[in-house]
Amino acid sequence: MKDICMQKFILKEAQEFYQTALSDLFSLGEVVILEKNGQSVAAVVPMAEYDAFQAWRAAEARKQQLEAEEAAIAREHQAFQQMLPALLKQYAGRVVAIHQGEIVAVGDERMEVWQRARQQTNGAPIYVQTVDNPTKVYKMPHRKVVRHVEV
Amino acid sequence: MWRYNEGEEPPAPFLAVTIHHPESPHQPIQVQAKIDTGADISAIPVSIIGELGLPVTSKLLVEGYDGTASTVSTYGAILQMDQARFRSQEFIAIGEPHALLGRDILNYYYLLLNGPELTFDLRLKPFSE
Repeated sequence: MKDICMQKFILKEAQEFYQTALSDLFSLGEVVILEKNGQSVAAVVPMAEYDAFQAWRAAEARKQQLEAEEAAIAREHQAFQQMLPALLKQYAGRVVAIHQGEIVAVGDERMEVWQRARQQTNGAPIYVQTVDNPTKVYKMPHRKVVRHVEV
Repeated sequence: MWRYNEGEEPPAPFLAVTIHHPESPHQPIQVQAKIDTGADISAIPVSIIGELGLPVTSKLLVEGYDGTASTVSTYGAILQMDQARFRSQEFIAIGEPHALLGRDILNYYYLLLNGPELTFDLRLKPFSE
């Protein structure tokens, strides 16, 4: 792990002094800890590190959002399976959109139904499914052949 | 007309496609996509799903090469490729650095694979026109 160069900077000197000292520190690419009354109150990091942190934070937020959506869609999928016998009587061959266990839109084209339901629910996770029996199985014979593997 | 990707063994038809989020299509990502006439549905790399924050839309039963079926998530996205920008459609995720173009997309095209010369052509109109 890369060592982080760090300096402490006490927040009591004049404004002008900070400008001079900080510009020197930034040129070294160091982390500067700002202290006030003996307590660390902030850290000044090189811009590259800040950008990397922001990118990491955005990626984490997207990951959490995706996990939450996956969980919501799994619940709606379960609800759909339970409702399927009743749905087949009313919507056989059609596409339904489900939100919180309720049908919120019906149509014939999956993404059109999804978009309509999404607008109705202000961007909440929406599950779409074609009401079929038996459930369609998609074939995906893709397999990457790995060559030159020594056993 | 495109050349096969000769980095694959045996060489395979690949072309560049652009993937957009279906609701905020301003930050697309370009990726190489392999033409896969055996696939019923197209697939995009899991890394792109995360990067674009593509929405989960459904669950599908997908059967692999060995006949084993498993339930997988689908994700909404817009795919743009030569001559055409598709409306929002669903994709599954794959753990590869490239996308797979299945017949859900390929069936809109006329496709000519010239294996001996390692070239291919993909058009919206018949080759005779």
